[in-house]
Amino acid sequence: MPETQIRLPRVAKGKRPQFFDDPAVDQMMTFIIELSAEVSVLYDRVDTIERLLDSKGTISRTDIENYRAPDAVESERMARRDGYLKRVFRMHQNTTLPKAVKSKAKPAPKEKSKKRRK
Amino acid sequence: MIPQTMHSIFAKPNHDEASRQNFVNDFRVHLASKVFPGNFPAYFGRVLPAFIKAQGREPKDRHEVRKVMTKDPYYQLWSAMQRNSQEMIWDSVIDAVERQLPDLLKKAKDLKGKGSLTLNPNVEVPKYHNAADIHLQPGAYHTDVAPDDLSAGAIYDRGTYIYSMGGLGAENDGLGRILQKFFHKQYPDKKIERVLDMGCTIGGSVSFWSTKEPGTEFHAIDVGAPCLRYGHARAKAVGANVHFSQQNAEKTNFLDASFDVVTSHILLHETSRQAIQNIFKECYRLLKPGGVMMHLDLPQAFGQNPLEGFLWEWEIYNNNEHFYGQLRELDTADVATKAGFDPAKFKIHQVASTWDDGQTPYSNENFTFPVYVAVK
Ligand SMILES: C[S@@+](CC[C@H](N)C(=O)[O-])C[C@H]1O[C@@H](n2cnc3c(N)ncnc32)[C@H](O)[C@@H]1O
Repeated sequence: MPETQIRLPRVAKGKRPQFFDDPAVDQMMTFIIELSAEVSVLYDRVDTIERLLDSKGTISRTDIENYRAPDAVESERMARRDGYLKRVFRMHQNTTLPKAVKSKAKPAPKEKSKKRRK
Repeated sequence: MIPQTMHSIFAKPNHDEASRQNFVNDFRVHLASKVFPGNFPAYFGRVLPAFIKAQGREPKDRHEVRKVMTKDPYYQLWSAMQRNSQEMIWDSVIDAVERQLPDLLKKAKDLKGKGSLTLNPNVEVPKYHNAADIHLQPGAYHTDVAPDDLSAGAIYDRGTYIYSMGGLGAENDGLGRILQKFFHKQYPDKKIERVLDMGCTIGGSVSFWSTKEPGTEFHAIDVGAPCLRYGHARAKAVGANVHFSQQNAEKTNFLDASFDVVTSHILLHETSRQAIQNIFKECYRLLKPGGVMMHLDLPQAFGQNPLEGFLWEWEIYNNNEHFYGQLRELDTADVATKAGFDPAKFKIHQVASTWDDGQTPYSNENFTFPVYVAVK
């Protein structure tokens, strides 16, 4: 980044909540999730390279940087990320409600959207 | 899949920025659909039975649920993931805005279009916006980092889209669509010459109104200068005609009885108890006789079971939405009466989160927003 670049604030004002007894676990969660994001970004990049190689035979860095996934490709990537997230975080998911409580259990709608947007 | 519309002032992500933003979006979809629901079996399967065993009764309210649920390992892990996803929204969006800021500033200057922008550097950021950065956007709505800065607005435009997982539609203006539709259904014959939108941020909602009602004069106010600058540019980019000005909604400089409609879209929950009283009072002053006040906001605690109530309040404690807490239990009818409105002409409508072209911002079709409506 050039020296003259305007820097934007990166940390939100306010106390960061601690969810676990040991704050190191909170920090580990951040490491792991950020790492997952970077693997996903890398995967998209490899996908771009493969697609460009398929269509052009040889490519440059500029080709990669200028590539924008068309909607159909983005849908494929989204499906791949869905599988990827399920694998990485597989021990921590549960969508089955105990029978007896189903009627009472209304999830907060705000968190419910399954729609995917680019 | 409907991608977000990238109008001419939008901070378009490059290859890897787009990948990062898409990851955060998909991560949040994963959390909402696969992880969040597990809080229910965790509660009913072990937290509630343990509570009943210890106390001989069920928790009486969401505050009691809070004491026990926050110790549950499933809830803790989901919370940590949810919190991180929120931080990552902003980080992934800020990358793209920071990189292009000089270019965006120039584009904003060169854009031609309708409407106006009046800034007033003497307007202070209210205390309720200075204590913490609401929903974790670093620098919130009001931090200027450059002359004529608009970065906070550019960040908000993309960030809220990822926050809602595209739930507010391709133009990210779903709240305006909901309220505009509601207004015309409710008042099919009302003529509107002049409308004020309070707490407009980047004017997403009011710009939608404006494109639908070209014969109406729209004013929009906010305290955050960088959001207003972006909002003005964005309005031009989408062909809206809105007069933006930097003003506190608690006390504006508009004349008495000068508006047919005064509205807000999710403003109230980000202000204080006293501010809501002042805002209602200001609405009363600004409305013409027969004019309509409409504030759309997030659900109140009434009618939610203790677990539901507790989960709704996750954002209060973990997403810097501290002020949502006071609105959750507020007697808004009383506030309206104290502001001068006739109690018989005040009503809380529960408005469905859908709009005409069949889009719904949230997949749960039963979801409704409360809209506080009073006629002067
Ligand atoms: C959640 S945003 C509103 C979103 C926007 N109405 C929309 O539909 O896209 C809340 C906004 O209210 C503004 N705000 C908070 N208190 C205010 C006040 N007293 N006067 C004017 N604006 C205020 C904030 O600066 C912020 O931009």
